[in-house]
Amino acid sequence: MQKFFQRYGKWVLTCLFGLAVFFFWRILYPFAMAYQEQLQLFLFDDDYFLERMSEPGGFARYLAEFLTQFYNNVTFGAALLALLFMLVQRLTWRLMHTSSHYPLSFIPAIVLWYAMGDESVLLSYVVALILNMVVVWLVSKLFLSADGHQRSLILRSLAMLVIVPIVYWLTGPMVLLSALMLLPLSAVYALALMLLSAHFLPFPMQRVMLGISYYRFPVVLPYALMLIPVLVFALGRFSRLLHKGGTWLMATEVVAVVVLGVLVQLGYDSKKYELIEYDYLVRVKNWNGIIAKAEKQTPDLPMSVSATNLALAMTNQLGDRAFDFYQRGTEGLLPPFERNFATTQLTGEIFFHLGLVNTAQRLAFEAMESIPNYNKSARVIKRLAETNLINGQYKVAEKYLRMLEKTVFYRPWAQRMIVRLGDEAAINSHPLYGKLRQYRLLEDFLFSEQELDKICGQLLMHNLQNQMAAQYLLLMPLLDRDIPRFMSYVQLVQQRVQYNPRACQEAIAFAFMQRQQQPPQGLVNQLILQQMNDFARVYGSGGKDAPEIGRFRNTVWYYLTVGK
Amino acid sequence: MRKLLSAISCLFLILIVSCTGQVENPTVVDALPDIYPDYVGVTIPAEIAPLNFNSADTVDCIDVVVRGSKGGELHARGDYADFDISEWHQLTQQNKGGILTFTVCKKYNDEWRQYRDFTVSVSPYALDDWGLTYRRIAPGYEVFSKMGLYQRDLSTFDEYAIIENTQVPGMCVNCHSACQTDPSKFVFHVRGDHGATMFQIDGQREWLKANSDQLGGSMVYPYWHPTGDYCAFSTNKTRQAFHVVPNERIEVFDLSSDVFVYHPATHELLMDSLLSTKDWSENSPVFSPDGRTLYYMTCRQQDYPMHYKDEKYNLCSISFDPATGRFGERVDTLINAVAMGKSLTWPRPSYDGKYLLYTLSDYGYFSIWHEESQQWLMDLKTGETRELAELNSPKADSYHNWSLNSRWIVFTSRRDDGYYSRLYLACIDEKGHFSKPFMLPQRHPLEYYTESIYSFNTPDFTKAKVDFDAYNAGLEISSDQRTVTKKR
Repeated sequence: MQKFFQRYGKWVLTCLFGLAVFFFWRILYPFAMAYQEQLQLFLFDDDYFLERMSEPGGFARYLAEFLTQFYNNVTFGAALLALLFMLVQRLTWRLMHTSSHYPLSFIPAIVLWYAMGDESVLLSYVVALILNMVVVWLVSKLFLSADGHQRSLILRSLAMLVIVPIVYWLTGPMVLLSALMLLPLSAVYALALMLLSAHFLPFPMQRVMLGISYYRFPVVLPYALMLIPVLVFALGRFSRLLHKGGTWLMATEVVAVVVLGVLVQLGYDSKKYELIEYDYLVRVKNWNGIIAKAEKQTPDLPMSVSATNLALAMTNQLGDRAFDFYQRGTEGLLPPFERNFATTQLTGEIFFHLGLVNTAQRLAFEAMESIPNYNKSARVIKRLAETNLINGQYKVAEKYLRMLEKTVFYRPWAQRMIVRLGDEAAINSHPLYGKLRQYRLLEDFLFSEQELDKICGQLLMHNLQNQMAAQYLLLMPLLDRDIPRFMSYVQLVQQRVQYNPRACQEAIAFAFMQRQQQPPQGLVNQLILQQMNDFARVYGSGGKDAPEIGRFRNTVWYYLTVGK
Repeated sequence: MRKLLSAISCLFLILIVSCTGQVENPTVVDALPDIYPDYVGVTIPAEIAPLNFNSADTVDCIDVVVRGSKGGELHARGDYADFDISEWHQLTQQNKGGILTFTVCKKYNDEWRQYRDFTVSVSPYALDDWGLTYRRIAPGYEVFSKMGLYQRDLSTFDEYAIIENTQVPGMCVNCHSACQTDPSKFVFHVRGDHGATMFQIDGQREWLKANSDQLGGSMVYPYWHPTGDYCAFSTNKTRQAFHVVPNERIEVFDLSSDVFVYHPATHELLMDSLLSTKDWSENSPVFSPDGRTLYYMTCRQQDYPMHYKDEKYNLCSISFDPATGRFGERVDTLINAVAMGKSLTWPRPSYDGKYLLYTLSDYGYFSIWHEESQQWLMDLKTGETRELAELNSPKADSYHNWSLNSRWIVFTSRRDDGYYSRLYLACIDEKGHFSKPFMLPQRHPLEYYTESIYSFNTPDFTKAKVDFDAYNAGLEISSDQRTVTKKR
């Protein structure tokens, strides 16, 4: 056993590390990969390749975007990430040029793992790091003559004159790592190249110096990402100077690295990732998954609340269960437009299912245009293809479908849709697109965020099958605590469709109680009337602070009088 | 770098995919070939880049022979008709004022089909401009990703960025203008956190404060005085709204707008009560070619967004004295579009003073988003005005501008796919009739236009290549050092 460990111990540790990374992404954060994937549109296309190659770091970016598209399969994506992290660790070890202190070689990879908790860190950074470590490893071998001595300074300098610009163009400013490790003086040359290139590139100097594609937001780079190459350099330079140490030191290093590994979780903002998960569930239309998640932990952020309300509406439960969850006013139903990808895309999903196809299209477009690194989005392009198919704008739809045809994962869907282009009957009979076509409004007006209830009313009047419009229409005045408006809407709705869920009955009972009247026979369930009386008694005994008031937490009355 | 890579990959592709074999025993088809873009029967300037085209349907190979009525012949064969630039120009120059006849054969499953020949006229009128400038932008709504101002050499396929918004994060550039196609006097706007109005006069850049207190807004829709001493603007409090029905998208209306003239030498804003009335919106001013008249649009102010369909503009004019910078005391209505139930926008007088191009739509002035937008022409001598049926399409046609010699126009149209606006060029003859417009040639037209996710807008001709230092301009934009304007 001891022999085995002596021989394969390092690989065992690396594999254990890889497994930890794999399970981390596969089990804990699969939706984070979907998030990354939707913020790019990798095309198998020479133009796409050339566009990427036209900027420093473009090759690393191309490679990273190629890999990121495989996040569509979360198991494969997690395996890919595990492999990349193992590569970072093993290459660090290679560059350490020592036979001891193996645990220290995990430090850069662990810091990277922590840093990737920031969802804006791009895989291009990881690829650029790996490529440079490979360059250092290979070139340093070439720099050694057969007798193990360094080749002459002139020869190495000449080699670096060629290597630095090539590596810079392929990987971006991470070339500084290669330059520093191979021939420290060449870092000046690398810096000069970077500064010079900034004059000819359509980017601010700061962005060129920090890496055009390392981080989603231009002109910033988190400190953790700056630290990683410094760590690799320091380990490569100084680890051989450390004392060899014995088992005790080895154990200490292992413990330190494990502790560091445990701290990785600190880099992952749970609230942020909760929203990312909600968005993912909406994207894949896992309505029951959303409700189950909300039942476990009540959503309280606008995006998660609106996702939960959407899921309830899609399963026709909104009127019965809306107040089982925390509500944030009408913004929790239809959030206002914000200039960012995540919330805009989710809001667009709600409008899409409501039948406001033009508004969904607009928000999809806005979401894509909001991506800070100017990428396009496969998810959005698919949605744009859908909205144009529904609107019968087939030439535009074709443009988007042809783009998706050049991807790995969206190609089959695109090809299925391409054959339906121009085929009105096929679109009309499509379960989703045909339905949304029926829901679309035909009379023109300008969309207004201030009149969403009226828009929902028009959607319902236009097509009485649009249950989601009915659910949203009646919930809006309730969330605004506007009972008179609710009463006028509910009459309008109930004259046309049979819809009288729990929230409506509670609100009707409340309205009649305010008027000191009994609701008409059969309009409100007897049990609800009884509960209403109970609530009135409890509320009357102590108002908001009445000890038993919590019993009514899931009712309209509680929301209207106590608020939550 | 990108061009080099592109050339290498093209060469590689040509080597591996070019179709081989001669056109043998073709089946004659009595129909015009279905090609993209549609260049059948168009009129081109001799200086234009080759009219490369694709078969509109999928073919194994296409073979094209072009013969000039005054001599010369050109042959292209491959996946698409790709003509050599210098050979093309040799042919067009040789046939200036003549006709090019295109013989097209297409290969389907080893069978060649020869279609009826079609012709392209080579205009006797020169282009006289180096190329075009335009904004290229995704046809979005409020948020914009990568976009910029670009220039295109019309004799080749080369496009160059003037400035892209990647230069300063969060920046958007729009509404550029050169002085009668002379880019030595150039202006454009920057929007965003570092907003400004940029003036570049004879290589000297100046950044004006985006929002002027005197104006109560920013400087929008510029147009140079022919002397280059003044630049007319409107200042608009613009709002956007979005339609809910399938065929309409964006509506733009102004809560208020006024017209004024800027004098770069003194940084003065020349304003007049007739051009900034309370109940009317004055908009999009342009100078007459003699510089003595200012044309602009006016609309009675409405309650927006409620009455957005009542936003209808007429064309008015007021005299202008370039020596003093004073306006006249009378406003004339030149075109009463409101009486026609229409709204007029984008007036553009030809530089020879003969015509005025404008767009009519049902309402509003942002014609690019109005499917019903049509281009019209007014004869400034006779006052006659007519719809340009020979130019218009069922989709939005707008944003026209004249070439320096007033023989060519460029305009945008969504006729290609209904959504993405493309650039079209057309020639006007002595009688004021336009030739069939042709889409701006591209090296790989089908690939370029079907894959491009950008729209072209506000195109203009440019006499020479715009010399603009985008790197230093980026630094200047970020610095926020701005020149303050003053009211005269």
